[in-house]
Amino acid sequence: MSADAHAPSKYKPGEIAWGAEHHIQPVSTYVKTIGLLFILMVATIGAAQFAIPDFKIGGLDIPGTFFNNIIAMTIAVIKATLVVMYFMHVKISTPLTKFWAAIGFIWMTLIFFILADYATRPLDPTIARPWTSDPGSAAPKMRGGPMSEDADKININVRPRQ
Amino acid sequence: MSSIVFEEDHEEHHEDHAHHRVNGVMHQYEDIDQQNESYAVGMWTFLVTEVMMFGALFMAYTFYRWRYAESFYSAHEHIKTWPGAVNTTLLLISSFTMVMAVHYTQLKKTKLVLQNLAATIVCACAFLFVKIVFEYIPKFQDHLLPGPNFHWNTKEYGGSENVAQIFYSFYFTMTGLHGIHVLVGILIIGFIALLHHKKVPAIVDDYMITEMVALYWHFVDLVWIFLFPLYYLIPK
Amino acid sequence: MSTVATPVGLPQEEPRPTTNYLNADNTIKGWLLTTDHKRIAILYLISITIMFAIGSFFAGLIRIELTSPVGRLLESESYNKVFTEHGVVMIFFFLIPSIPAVLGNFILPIAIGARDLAFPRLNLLSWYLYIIAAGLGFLAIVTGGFDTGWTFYTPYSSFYSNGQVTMAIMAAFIAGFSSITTGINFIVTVHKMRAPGMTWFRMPIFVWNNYTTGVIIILGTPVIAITLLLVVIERVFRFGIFSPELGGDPVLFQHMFWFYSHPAVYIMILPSMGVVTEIIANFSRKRLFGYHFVAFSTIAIGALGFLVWGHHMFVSSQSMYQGVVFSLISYLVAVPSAVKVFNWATTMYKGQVQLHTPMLFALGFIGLFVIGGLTGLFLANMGTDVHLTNTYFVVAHFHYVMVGGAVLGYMGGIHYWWPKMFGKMYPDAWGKASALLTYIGFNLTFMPQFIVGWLGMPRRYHYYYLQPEFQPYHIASTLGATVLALGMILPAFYLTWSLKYGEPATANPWGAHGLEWEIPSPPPTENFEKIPIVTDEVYDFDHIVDVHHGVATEGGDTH
Repeated sequence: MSADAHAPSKYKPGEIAWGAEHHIQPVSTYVKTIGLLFILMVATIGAAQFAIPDFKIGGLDIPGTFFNNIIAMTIAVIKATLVVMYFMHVKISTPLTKFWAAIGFIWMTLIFFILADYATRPLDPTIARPWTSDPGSAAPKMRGGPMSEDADKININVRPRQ
Repeated sequence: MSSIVFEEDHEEHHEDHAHHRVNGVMHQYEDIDQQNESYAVGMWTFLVTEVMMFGALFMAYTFYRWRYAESFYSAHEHIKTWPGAVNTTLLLISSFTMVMAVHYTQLKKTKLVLQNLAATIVCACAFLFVKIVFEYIPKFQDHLLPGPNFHWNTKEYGGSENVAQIFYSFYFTMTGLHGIHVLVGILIIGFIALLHHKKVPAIVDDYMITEMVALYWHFVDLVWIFLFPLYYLIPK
Repeated sequence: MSTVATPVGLPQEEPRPTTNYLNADNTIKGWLLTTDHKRIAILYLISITIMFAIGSFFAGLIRIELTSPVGRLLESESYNKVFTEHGVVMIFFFLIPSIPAVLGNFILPIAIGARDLAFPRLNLLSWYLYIIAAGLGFLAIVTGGFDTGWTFYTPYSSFYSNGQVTMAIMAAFIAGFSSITTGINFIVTVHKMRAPGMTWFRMPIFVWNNYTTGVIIILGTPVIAITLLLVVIERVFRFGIFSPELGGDPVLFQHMFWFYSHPAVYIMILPSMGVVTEIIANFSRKRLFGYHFVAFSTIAIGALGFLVWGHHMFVSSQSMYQGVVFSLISYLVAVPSAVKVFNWATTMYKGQVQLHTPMLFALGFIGLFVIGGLTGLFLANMGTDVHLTNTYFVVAHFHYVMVGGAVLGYMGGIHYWWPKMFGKMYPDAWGKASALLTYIGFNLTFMPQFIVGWLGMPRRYHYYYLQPEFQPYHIASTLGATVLALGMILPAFYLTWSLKYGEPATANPWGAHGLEWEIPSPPPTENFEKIPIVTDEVYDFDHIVDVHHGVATEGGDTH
């Protein structure tokens, strides 16, 4: 950008905002982008109306909705890229700006490694349990209360006073 | 001492360094390109924090949806698609008008800037209106706000009531947080519209301020682009 | 020219040839609405010291309580509040801001040859956010307290606790934004505002470390912000997100919490390592050995630090296979830290080591950080962690790295840059006494805790009447805490004394290398009269005349 900054300006001083010289995009860019965004929005709504049926690949049961989600997320990512590149001007930004624009989304994927914990639990026999069909039933009931079966009858949990 | 050669300074020096610009450049910067790029990078680092914040919410949502896929589908039945689609359209239009406002700020055409900012605010307010009137209020009336009054008609919709409560907790949290960001955006855009209207020199000549607000607004749109399919378009 | 009134607390200075940042504009408005990074650093210094005093008060209560197997002062609920508040105040309001907000704010722009940070007004906002957060936190403490532990585990914090959890969380939330704004400022400043000739590899390591800290801050803090916000939402609105009664998962909270809180410990230690690097290189009068290795190890620690959060959750029903990955990467993250330690040692080898106060703190850092780091390896190992987790071994480990590491680095940095910041020298003998007392007191406090930890004393318990044989260890620990307190209180006296009666400092009393030592002490508001062009490599001592501190060098002179 700074190399361009010394090129002769085609605008008279005062005609454009400070430093805007090489950042002014033609309006057609924005119009084309919004058009594409609308088309993609319609596409994503349309794609969600049809649930892809379940099918098998060589013995593996694959729920069809898995692909619905992939399609929906792909379209969302494309829309997001369009917004970031053209509306947020990242396409014409310096490499430094591009780096910081990208790093947030890349780093966000790290949080999803939390899901790997839950994905690998079935492999461990001590903690593997099927996700219950009656959620909330496994919540621990109040323990140690005076009338419960594990009430503290010998006052072991009572602190002796001095 | 070390071999340091002092270069001639281009700027004048003033004792009062408060908000004083020389040729549009604040005292801590050398030239306008450095200043503009700093503003852009600074705003993007802030948006990185917002991405991480919403990203964590998306992750938690993904976790529960993966775990309770069936119940999530049943729970989302009650959410109609059309307000979501309308809201998406409104936000996309507002994004467009916002970037046009920046465009005209760069060209210093204040009247067009104000028109586009006004359009953005109108779309944003319409977004909130649709959300509150057509989505939140019906849900409150149907006992879908999580808490002591939550009630889920399992016989009619299927799925577990407990999971439905989790689903709606996420729904209200994420759309609510997004809505707060929209509201804050409206206030900020309104404020810079006021500054443009008063032709405050800083905002008329320095397009980066409007650009930074626009970056924030586009980010709000980005979050909605991902929220929309996740809440409104869950396949069976 | 001196202006009319001197600021409150600072003495009448001798007429100095130029105004400096301290006596330019002495109105209240000039301090409270300042955008000068140096003044904001001083404001932070005062605020952080107050919060440190509050946190230390709670630490004192803990140590008194534990001198008897049945406890001395507090009920269980009160003790829970005390250790929670100790943790929250010390972590969110002291350790995380300490070096970046005080020393980073002051020194970083000068060290890279800039006139100010990239966003001076944002810097001021950062301080105000901190003050609001600290005020809110203090209010939460005095209106009832909160007893969830600084880790705010659900569902206790979101459903069952009866303390001021919401207010405390909002305080931490706002403090997080204070942190984020500082991080944004540092990142943009280092990228965009280095002086001509100051390439990345001519930057002092202190700048590298503060930059990396800024990156970690913006990547990690939002996650805890939203996690804590979810807890508040659960508490206030009775939504169910982590609630097991609805099928929610409390372990999810733990994942999200530690996703930030582990990088947070690197936020606390990396700036301190930067300070130590500066001190070691400058007080050995020798170029830093392996500069590139030290710089890249900083980046490595920052990056790897995001991949190890699960080592806080080995016993939480987390998947064992996940645990293996976390354990492995936790061992790996020790490597860059070791790289730094080796480089410090080799820097000192055959250098002209000068044992002034800052150097004592830096050497103390190396010893204590190594012990803390090595004991961390026991905890990173899943097998031994099952035995040691939630015992006093963990408490001792993190205090070794946090206090023995981060706080000693902070104290060393304060002593190192004090002459620059205030233009006065403090009596070195007192400084050395303070360093020594701190070191001895610290070891006496926390070494017994390792022992009592592996013998089985759980953490967060205020009684141990079932094992009264632990008492001698706790008494030793409390004794050590008294000595440590003395060591920490001394600087408050001699540093304040030095403001009025100290020997005026020259531009470069330590004979150190760096742009900050080329400008007067205290610096003028605009830092540099002319922006320097940097042509020499970092830590290049060939051109600095050997000095005894107090004797003037030719300030600003080139050869």
